[in-house]
Amino acid sequence: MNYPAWVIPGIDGGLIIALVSIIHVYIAHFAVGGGIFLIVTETIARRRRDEALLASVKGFTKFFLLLTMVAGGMTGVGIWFTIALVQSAGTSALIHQFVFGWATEWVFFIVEIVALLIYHYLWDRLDARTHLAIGWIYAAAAWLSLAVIDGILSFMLTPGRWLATGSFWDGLFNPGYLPSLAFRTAAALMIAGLFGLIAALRAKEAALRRFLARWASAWIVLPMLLLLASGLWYFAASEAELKGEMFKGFWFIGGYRTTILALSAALFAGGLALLIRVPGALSPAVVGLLVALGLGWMGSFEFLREIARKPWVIHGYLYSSGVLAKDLRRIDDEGWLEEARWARKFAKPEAGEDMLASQCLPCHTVGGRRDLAKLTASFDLHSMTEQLESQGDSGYMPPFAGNAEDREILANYIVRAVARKNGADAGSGATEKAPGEEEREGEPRERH
Amino acid sequence: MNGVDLIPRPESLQVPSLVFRILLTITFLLHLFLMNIALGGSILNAVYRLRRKEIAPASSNLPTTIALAVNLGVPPLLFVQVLFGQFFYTSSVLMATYWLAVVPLLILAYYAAYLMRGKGARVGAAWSAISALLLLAIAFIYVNNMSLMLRYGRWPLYFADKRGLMLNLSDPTLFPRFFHFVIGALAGASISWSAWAHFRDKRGRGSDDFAKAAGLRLFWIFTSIQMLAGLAWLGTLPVEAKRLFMGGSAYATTLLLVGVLLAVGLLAHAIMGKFKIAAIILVPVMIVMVLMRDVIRSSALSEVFSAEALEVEPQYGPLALFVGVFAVGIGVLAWMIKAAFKPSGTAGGSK
Repeated sequence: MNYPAWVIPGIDGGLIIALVSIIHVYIAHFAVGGGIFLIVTETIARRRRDEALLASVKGFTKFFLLLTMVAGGMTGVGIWFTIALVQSAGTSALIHQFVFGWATEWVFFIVEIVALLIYHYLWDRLDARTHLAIGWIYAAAAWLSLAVIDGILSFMLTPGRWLATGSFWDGLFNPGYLPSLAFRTAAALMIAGLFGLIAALRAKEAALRRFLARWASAWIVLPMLLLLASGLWYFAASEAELKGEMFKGFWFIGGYRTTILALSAALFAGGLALLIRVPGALSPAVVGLLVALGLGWMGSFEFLREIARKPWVIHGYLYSSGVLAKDLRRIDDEGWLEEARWARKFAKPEAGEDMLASQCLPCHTVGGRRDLAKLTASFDLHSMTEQLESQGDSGYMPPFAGNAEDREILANYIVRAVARKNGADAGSGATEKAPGEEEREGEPRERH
Repeated sequence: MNGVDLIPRPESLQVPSLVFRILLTITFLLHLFLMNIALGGSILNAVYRLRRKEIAPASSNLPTTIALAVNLGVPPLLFVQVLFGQFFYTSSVLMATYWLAVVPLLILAYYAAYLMRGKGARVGAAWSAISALLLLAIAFIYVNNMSLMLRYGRWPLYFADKRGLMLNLSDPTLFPRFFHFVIGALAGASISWSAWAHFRDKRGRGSDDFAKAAGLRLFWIFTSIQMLAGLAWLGTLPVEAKRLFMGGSAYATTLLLVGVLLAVGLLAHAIMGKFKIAAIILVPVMIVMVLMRDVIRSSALSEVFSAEALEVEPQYGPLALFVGVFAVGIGVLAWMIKAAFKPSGTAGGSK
């Protein structure tokens, strides 16, 4: 409402965030765990004076650099771009609250980059001690950047005392902070093991291949135990903070939970199998499958976290509809159109279209995922209005923000212009005849 | 409907706006240095490889430069969102499709720069040209966003099409502004050749007189064009902004005068082949340019916005955390770079 809404026909913003973030989160965790994996393995190789192992680590570093720095680093910036477009109000709130948190994370980020570049490019030129020191600096900086960002991520689900105090520290070190950090650290180590199998695949000599496969599998299996413990802790802490209402209204949540547990079991079994039955079980197909399962695992975890947070962007503070909790009552009294900046207030169908874009389309689409045209197909004006009145009770949809007149305008718009139609155009303005034309006299149209 | 009604309500700051302005200026300046080398360097490298059938000076550093330019782009983008979020988020949404395209374009440009390394002159030229074109596209998108955020009068066009396909093409300042950045990047990349040759020489890794001289020559050629492009940009500015530089504001006018004087001095020393002095003068020139850009932004928003008027709900702890970590970070970076450049026994080639 404070910001315009980006409407892509048939695609909801959440899907775009999910696409960018799942890839990023997976690689970013690898960037953290992989740094520790590299430096520990290098230390072992140097202690044993194992030149072949050392060469493997060196070769793996190049792969690591190209994957984490290019795809990982750039999609990290990409998430930032994406959330600002899909959830401008939420992004603005996070940026203003945590600006120096982000700035601190950036310092770790640049130390990370410079350390990794030196670690890779000057591998042969630095003496062993300096090279190891640079490797440890990378690992520390990468983990510290996780330690900062984890505060902001967990804050969104469990802001805790921040809601009352507004203090940066209360927000950063929120009730979910430590369990989430333990969980993500364990995930990072496990993912390092998954990718570490690639180093084993590339090793030519049988003994080295066997060692690397065992070694990488151990990184999958052992962190799994920590993952299980911290996962339970994380879940319990969040559930306690949110008073047992984390998944309220989500009848399908069991499916997600089963998926994540099944994927965890598959990863554990795969890692264990490789640990016991190498090198027989080691093949590109098995490694590819495990890496893909890891991506699925990470993705289902992120989906679960996303669902747990609904209907909020920041729990108890900002709804996914861009409405602040503290403003809700006022908006209900005075009217959404009165409060909103990005709405054509004096033209009815247009106002309805703008309200739809702002309040519904952050999660729904017309013609795509969570299709409003289908979902509202059986509604008449009366039942649509009732739905808007009561939708906040569900637990997973935010309450409609606005007064009776707003509800009537939106319900009218949905029933007339959205429902049942093959409305791929609805919301983009194309269903209405040149909406807002009268307000823009003399201004050239700019369509591309 | 006019654009003023659409400007979102701003959020409060944790420390006075001046702190963010200073941080924004410094970090943007650092980003600009690296961005110039990455963008200008890719273009120069492509042209050089095609024409001379050999590898351009310093071109193997391009992927690293892109990585660092992106990294140093993070803090200015952060501080711009803190100070001007209500303008920046809005214009970003209005051109969302293009704005989001920056991310894949950047990934491709970055990988193309990696693919360029170690290739021969012709194949390398092709990869470098691809990388350069992608970076130019990103620059164009950026210039659109940074100017659209100031043109709130155009914002109501959103209601005709919400798909995020708006650009700021009708803005008379758009193309002069774009060319001013691109030519500046070419000039910056040129002098970076001389700097590269200078440091190689200093570290006893062989002198490259060609790179030193050609860099400086290209630098003064591009800088001369750059001054014209700057004047063109100035010429297309709204009357109110122009007036500020023509005596309307003592600060803005001084900036312009100092900028022109420094630029002339810069040009003279570059033509005389004095690399060191030219490189030293370049720093204040760029500072003045960044401050002038700030004057233009403030002027465009003067009727609806003043950073000083933003509400401050003071919290100094987070700032202290950042400053502390930053100080330690600088120390660690300095140690690592010193360790990296320490002369070593093995005379390994540059990799």
